[in-house]
Amino acid sequence: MQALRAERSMQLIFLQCVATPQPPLSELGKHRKIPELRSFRSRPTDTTVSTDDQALIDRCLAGDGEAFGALVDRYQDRLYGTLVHLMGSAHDALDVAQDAFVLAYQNLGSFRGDSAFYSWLFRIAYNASVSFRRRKKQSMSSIEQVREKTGSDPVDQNRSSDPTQSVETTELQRLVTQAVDDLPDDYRTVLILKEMEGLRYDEIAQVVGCPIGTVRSRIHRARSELRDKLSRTLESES
Amino acid sequence: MNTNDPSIEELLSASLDDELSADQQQVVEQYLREKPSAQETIDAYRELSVLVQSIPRSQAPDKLSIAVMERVTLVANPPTIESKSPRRAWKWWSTSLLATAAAAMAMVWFSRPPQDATELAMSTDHSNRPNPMDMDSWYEVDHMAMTDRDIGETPGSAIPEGARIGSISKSVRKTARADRPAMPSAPSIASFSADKLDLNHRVAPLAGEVFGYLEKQGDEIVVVELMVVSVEKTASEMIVLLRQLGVQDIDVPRSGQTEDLVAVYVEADERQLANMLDQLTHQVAIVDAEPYRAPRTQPPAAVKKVIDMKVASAMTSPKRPSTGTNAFDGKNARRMQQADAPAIAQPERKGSLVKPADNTKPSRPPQPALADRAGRTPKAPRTAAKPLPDSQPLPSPSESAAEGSASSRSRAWLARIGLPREELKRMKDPKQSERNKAKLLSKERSAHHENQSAVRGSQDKQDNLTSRSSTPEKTRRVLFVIQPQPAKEN
Repeated sequence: MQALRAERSMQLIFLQCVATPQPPLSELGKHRKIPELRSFRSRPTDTTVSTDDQALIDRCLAGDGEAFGALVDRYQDRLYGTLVHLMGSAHDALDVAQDAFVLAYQNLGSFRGDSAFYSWLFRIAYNASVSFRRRKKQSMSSIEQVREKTGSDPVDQNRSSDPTQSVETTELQRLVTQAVDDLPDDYRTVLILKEMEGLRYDEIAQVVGCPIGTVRSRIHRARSELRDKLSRTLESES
Repeated sequence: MNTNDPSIEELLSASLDDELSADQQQVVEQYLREKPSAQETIDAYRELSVLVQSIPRSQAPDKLSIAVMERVTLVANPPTIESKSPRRAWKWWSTSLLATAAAAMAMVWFSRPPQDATELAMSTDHSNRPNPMDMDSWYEVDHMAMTDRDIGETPGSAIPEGARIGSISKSVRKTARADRPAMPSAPSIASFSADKLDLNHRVAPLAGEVFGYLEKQGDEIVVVELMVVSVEKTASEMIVLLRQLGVQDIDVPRSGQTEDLVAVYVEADERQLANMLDQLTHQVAIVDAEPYRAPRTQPPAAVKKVIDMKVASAMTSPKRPSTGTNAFDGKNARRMQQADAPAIAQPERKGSLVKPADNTKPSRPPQPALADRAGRTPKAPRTAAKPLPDSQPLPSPSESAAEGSASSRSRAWLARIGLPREELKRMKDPKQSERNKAKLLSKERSAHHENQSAVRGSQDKQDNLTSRSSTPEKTRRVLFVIQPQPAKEN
């Protein structure tokens, strides 16, 4: 397992190297030079809880609420950053992240430490996001009413693709972000879990609750659709 | 192999992620040798991968940690650690650490007149045998209706200490207050009996179990559904969700503060409460990492069992001698309760609701009350009640004809959840369940939208009483009873 993780780390470094001025942009960027990009990809998931995390968890279980605050500070950016793209809305991501942290706190006693705390937290967050989406679907009728009245969808001011968000984005990143956000939920989910969370296929299958073959298929379809979408966008803008 | 074959495309994509088996790797390598241009596909996927990874990650806003910590502080206790030995577990149970592990029961009244003969049969009273609908049940129902008005008039007032729950004899306290003026008056909070839930012969109710029984409010036969929800993991969520419903000032005792059961009565819009319950139950599923399952549209086995037993009971039990007046109204309830006082104290009556109603067999040996098993002296059951005003007589028990048929049991269930039969049939279809749920929700929402006034609940109930329509109820009343839950044994 250690060797596998090292392999994956090396692969990641390699990808970063080839990313910079890599020719053929294939169908993607024939008329555009990809700027130097820094990968924001999370490190591959650890399989065991770190001693720091475990110490904080032990303190939490002993009744030290501040220790949980430290865990929140440690993982909130990573979790929230992924959830924004997973949910497609900063506002929704905020709600789901809150739910996930609170649920994690309430169930720290059941955390057995056989996986990394973040992996456990993320699984909770993912399930919370599924629940959130389901609840949101139930209230879609109000949105449909708005659409009927105005002829357009309600504007989500917290849309993650909003370029005025706190993170500075390049034009290409904005296009990619938009394209990812526009993917169907199933495709976007597995792609984000793969590319942003660095999960393996079997881990994605476990989180999402589908066979590995489905994960492989969805990732491929997500990439294919993303490639087509970006190609069309770049060609139209050039 | 054809380039357009999705399988090879998938393999090319997976090769980028090092997710190929040895055989698959050979297939890809062979394919690349035969068609070197396929390497461009891999390169494109690789660039896409880098691009997606380069998407900036938003930093969490400050309000996230603040909000999380605020909600965390609502958790009364730190996460619990399960007892490791049965002895410790039993000790833990006996000391009733309320806040460290709890179960919430949601008591849902569907204030609705009897719909069919089955329910009339189920409402038949039989005095000579332990029966779910025996006198003390009616008495308690009457008292519930009485308490309804009391609580409704003084929201937030505490339940009198005299209110006891069956042989567990825990006092019930009302600790929630609905700030919203639109909250309808509360029907009751008092004395649903733990005996009814058959809790005395078992360690604890299990989360997800549903207990149902019939009770009488005024001259209405209402179906009471008690859903056991483990709030060991969701206690604070319940508080938060209640706040979202406008229910404030939840005062859940902390560990060691009390050994009492604590009842939190809530009455609000049915849809909101249904969503809240859904969230509560689903959050348990979230933590347990269980996949989402659509809400059950079939009657839970526990409920069906109760209904079946009630029907069987109605078929086999002798009728209660007529008193010439409504034997179940509040005035007579107290009188008859006094007359039946010794019977009320008999342990054979305990747990009668979910015991098999078989007259040919002796009653199940009385199980010691939880309090007894814990070594404490059970407190005396509540015996005082205010009389209710006279109400209309119940339908004749003779209407229990044709009781027990499958169709009538089915109608009883359909009526219990208050849905038209056609609606439920559509919901049972998994392919259409989501769409129908949305339709139903929309339908309910439109119905709820018209009923946001303060007197909504009681007025609707009265309307249903007079018209005996099958319109789904618009107000759902929920009673959370937080009670100690035993630790799991290894």
